[in-house]
Amino acid sequence: MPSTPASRTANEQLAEIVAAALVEAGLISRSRIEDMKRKLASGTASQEDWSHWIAECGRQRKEPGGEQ
Amino acid sequence: MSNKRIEKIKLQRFRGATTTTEITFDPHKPLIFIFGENGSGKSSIVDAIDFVCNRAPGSLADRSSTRPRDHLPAIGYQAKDINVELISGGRSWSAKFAGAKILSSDGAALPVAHVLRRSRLTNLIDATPAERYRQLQKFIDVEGVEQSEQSLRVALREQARTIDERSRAKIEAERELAQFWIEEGMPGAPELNALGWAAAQSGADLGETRARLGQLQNLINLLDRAAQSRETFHRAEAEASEKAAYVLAAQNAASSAAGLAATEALQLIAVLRDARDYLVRSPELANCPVCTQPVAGESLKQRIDERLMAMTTLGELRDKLDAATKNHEHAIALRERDRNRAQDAVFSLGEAIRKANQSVLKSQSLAEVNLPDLMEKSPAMREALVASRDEAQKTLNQFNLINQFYRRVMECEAELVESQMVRNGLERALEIVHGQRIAFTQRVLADVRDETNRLYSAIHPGESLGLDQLSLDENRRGSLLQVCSFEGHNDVVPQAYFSESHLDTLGFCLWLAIAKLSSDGDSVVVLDDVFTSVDSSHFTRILDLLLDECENFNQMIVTTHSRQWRDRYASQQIPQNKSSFVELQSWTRDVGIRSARTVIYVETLREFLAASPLDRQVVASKAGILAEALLDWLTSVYECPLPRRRSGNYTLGDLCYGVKRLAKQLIIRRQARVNNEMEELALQPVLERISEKMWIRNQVGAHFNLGGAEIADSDVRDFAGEVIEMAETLVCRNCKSLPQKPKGTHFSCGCSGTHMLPLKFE
Repeated sequence: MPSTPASRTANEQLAEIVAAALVEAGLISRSRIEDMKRKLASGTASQEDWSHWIAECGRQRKEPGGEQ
Repeated sequence: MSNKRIEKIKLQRFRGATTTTEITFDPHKPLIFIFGENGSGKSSIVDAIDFVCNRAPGSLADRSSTRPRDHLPAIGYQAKDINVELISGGRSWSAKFAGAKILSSDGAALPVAHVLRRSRLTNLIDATPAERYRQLQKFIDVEGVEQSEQSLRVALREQARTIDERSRAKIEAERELAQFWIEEGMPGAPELNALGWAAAQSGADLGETRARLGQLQNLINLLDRAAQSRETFHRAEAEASEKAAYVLAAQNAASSAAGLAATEALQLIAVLRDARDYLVRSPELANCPVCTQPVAGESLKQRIDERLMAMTTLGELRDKLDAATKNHEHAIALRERDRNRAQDAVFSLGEAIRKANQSVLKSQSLAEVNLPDLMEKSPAMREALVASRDEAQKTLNQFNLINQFYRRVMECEAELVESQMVRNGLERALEIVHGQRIAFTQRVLADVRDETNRLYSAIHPGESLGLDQLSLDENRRGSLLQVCSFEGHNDVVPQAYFSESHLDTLGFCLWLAIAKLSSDGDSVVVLDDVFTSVDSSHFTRILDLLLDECENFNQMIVTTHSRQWRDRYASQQIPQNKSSFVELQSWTRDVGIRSARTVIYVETLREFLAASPLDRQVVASKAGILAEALLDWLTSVYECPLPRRRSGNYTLGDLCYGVKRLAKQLIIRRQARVNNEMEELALQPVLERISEKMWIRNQVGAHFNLGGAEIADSDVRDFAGEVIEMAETLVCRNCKSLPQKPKGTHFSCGCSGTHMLPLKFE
């Protein structure tokens, strides 16, 4: 059975998994993860948010010493 | 966990509780049984828990023609009279009606209770897919993430549009560059195309051209300034000559008008005017200031005026001459100033030409021009300078245009690359979000399915039945499909093929799996008369399942009207260290619901044995029942051969005989009380003694006869004592349960502290 605490909603549990996977894939900056989890779970992540998150992380990767 | 177990529930005028009823549970035991015959108040207690913990009307919700506010109050009472109080972990919660609503105190910290009633047992299995979805919605509803995923899809579509726009912009910029390149004669071709040429051009250093352009423009400006100054000087020179001519003309006019030499006449007028001015300033004058002779001032002034009047024309001519002279002097001053300026401008120009290098001037004749000749050659010089400047300017303009086109192409390229990078990222993100969402839901459903099957197979081991798949209906939102396997077919709808009993079990297992999913080990599970008709083999499995699963919850409360559960508890076939039994008495309107703790047989027998005077009939009877219960259990565990009877019941004699051969091999192994070392106890000696005295059970405990009357009390006591000894031999001292779980080479009790060997006897 799932070991995640029952006190968290399914949305919150899944948002945590998704955010971690996106960071792991190098698509989202680690500094965005909390903001992202909150918006994902509440359904308020907008198209502008997505474009911004992806573009920002891409730019950071291009910078010398940026996130890989 | 035990700090949140329900310790007590107090019902006042609630359903069957016509009087105040308090039911106490042992908070040290995770598994609570409530036994009572039908109508004794079990459901009232369960409804009371539901009433407080879930603010729900309990079983009335499933019954037609009932209204909680009217029918939850005990008969003869009203909703306002109801009060239910629940005590858990030392805290108390109460619930009552407030209008049609049920209100409970301190709702945030209420114990979490999941209640399953018999009437709802098959709901999950038999329900519509939509209803089944609602049961699991809390665990699989990820609408928030779905909405965010939808935004991600929109972002991806928008990004694709942006890429199209930027691609078109780049193509247009490249086209403009190519056009310009062609217009320029395709420089660099064929080695270079337009972009290559522009790239090379944009990297060129045009500093020298810019400097030359600046110098040329400076020379042109200086040349223009010199020419202008020279022009101004010429105009000033002409002006001065003209003014000189005016002076000469004025002099000639004055001379011819006076009839005397012009110079003299003009001097005389000047003297007379000065003398008159002097007389005006000195009205009291007595003597002439020149000859010192006495004069009449007024008379002299009149004479001077008369003479000047006579010389008026000459005076005007004098004025004109003065003005012409003054203008002439001013024109000469201006001419001299402009001469200097013109000389400066020509000098500056000459200096600039001298300093300018060959590449700037690009004209040998210009570089070699002498200063005196400079202004003479200025038109030609200017023409040459302007031509050079325009050539340099053209070079720069071309460079700027190339740069502009090239930069535009490069900007479009950079924007396109970034857009494609974002598009790729969004695509990958969508794959991840979508994949994780589907996997999450599938994982939850698979977890529920697997747990359901695990529980189900614990009750029905080896049966080829099970829940194959729980899945969301792809064509309908909020719809949960279930598919079972049955006799090798994997696409079976369970309602169509499973027996009622199997559907019950499957429903229970699915419900319990969901309850586990929704609990973090801190909730209370209440099963209200869920196991109605359980045969002997399933009884043990269900009991084992409950004993195992109660550990996953804070507390498990099981109500039953089946006396089998109660008797098994009393005969210690249910571990006492994990469970306790509450027994409800018959309900009457006057006393309402009454409860008592179920006392195990051996304790009852001890109490009667210790009582004085001895009730020999009760002792013999209860000893016989305990002996029968133990031997019945033993023959069942070891499948001992017994005589076949039409009624299916066995006498104490049958049972003693049945275990005779087993008793020779049976050993109880456990920790000794005295030295904590393992001790082994044989059943045979005590069984033989019981066999010798078992007739006492009938003679004294069951019938009236003279033979029985002759049996001494001491024999009755001995018989009861032997039965108690057999119970103490078989029952674990720690968990107070019989060893009935097969474990490798032996049977084990509930706490695994007592072993019974062998596993099978020969």
